[in-house]
Amino acid sequence: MEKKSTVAAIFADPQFWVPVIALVFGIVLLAIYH
Amino acid sequence: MAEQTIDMATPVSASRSLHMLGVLTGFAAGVWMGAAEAPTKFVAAGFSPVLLSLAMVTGVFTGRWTIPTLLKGTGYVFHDLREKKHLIIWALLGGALWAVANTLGTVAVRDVGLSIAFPLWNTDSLVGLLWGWLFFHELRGAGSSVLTKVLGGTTAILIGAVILGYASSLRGATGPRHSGAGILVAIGAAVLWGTMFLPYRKAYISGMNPLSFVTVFTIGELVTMTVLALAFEGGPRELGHKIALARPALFWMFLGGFCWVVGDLFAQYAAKYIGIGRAAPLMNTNQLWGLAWGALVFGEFAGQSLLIRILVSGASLIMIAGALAISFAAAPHEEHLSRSVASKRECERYGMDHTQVEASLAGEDPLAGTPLSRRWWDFIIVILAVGVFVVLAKDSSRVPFPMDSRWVAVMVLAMMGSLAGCGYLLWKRTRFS
Repeated sequence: MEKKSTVAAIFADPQFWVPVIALVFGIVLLAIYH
Repeated sequence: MAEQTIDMATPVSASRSLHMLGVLTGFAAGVWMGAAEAPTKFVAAGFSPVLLSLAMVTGVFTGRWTIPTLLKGTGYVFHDLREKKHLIIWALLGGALWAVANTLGTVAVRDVGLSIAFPLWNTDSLVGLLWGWLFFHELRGAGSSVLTKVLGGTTAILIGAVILGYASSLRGATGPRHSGAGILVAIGAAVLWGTMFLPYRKAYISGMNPLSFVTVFTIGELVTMTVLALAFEGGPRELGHKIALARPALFWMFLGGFCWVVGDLFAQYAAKYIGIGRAAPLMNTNQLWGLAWGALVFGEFAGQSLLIRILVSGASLIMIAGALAISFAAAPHEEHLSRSVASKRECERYGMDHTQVEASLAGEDPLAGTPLSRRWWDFIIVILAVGVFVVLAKDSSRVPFPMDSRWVAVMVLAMMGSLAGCGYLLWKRTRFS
């Protein structure tokens, strides 16, 4: 129960998606230009 | 609610001493991160950027289990992580961002050369400053004088980086191969490194101990770098073969990793006590120390023109002036209140005790009353980690070109001085909290 609410709080946190998007962007850049 | 926040914000006198502590650890981070470049400098040739990065990150991971384990044992770290388990994913993300950014950085160096890549990715401090302002209320209520010092100092460090890069290019660096793509990749590295400061600040505005954060951060780095190396180096068998070939040079790459993890720990304390807006540009003075190793120890600028010497000296002075400006920009009470609002929001979102978090941000150790003494296995871990370095040193190759031993002594003295000085201050003021 507690575990579920922690995960839900992380996903509901708008700040969480900033590094996630940056990481995806970086991996795409690497895949194209490495 | 406003009154509660005001009561909990750090008192002015305490915040000034924490500001100085944060500034000094920021400078120490620059010293150690700059030194991290030195051991890898003379083994870099002949190895792919991804392999070099993987070896260094493995050294970072191993290094984390040496001195840092003696500061706080595994019991303390795991207790802290259990209390703030929502931050584990943030630390993993931070490590993954570092690994991808570092690999992008090496690609950028390949494509446009260090002289263009380095100043471009140094703009990460601006990205960090943006996230600090936007998400953690840094510099809000700071007043024009403090704002001028921080923004002016950051700009000066950036200008210094551009001039140093230009001076390096005059030494006859190889010409650009894919300039458009290389610039894009370098900017990408800056975005990732700058965004990496977001997990840093997220952890510390929640009162996490830097040693706990670094533990998970290094795992994130190692896992990401291993995946990248397997993807880009031709699979497990090919990667294993390349690592075996690199064996004589591994010690130096690991040593670079060790220096980096010490520098990163200081950077984490700086981020905790002065925020990412101020800590990021101070960390970026590592370029100055990297250059000092090259110029003074390895004699890279021997026989260079007067113009290059003037450019390097001028850029160094500009960077130092910028760093000094930031060091005098202590956050006023209003900025602390603003930061406290951001901290309270985190506590409400993740169910943490705001009083305990504020105590941690004021340099107190919230776990001080908990019996978390070091256990016997902590010492086994330290012995094993040090053993890895000893085994690698036994089979390591010798330094392939001359070094100025007097300057090596001076640089090592600066490193040890910053380690002992900042280590003592951190222990005295925060007990490594």
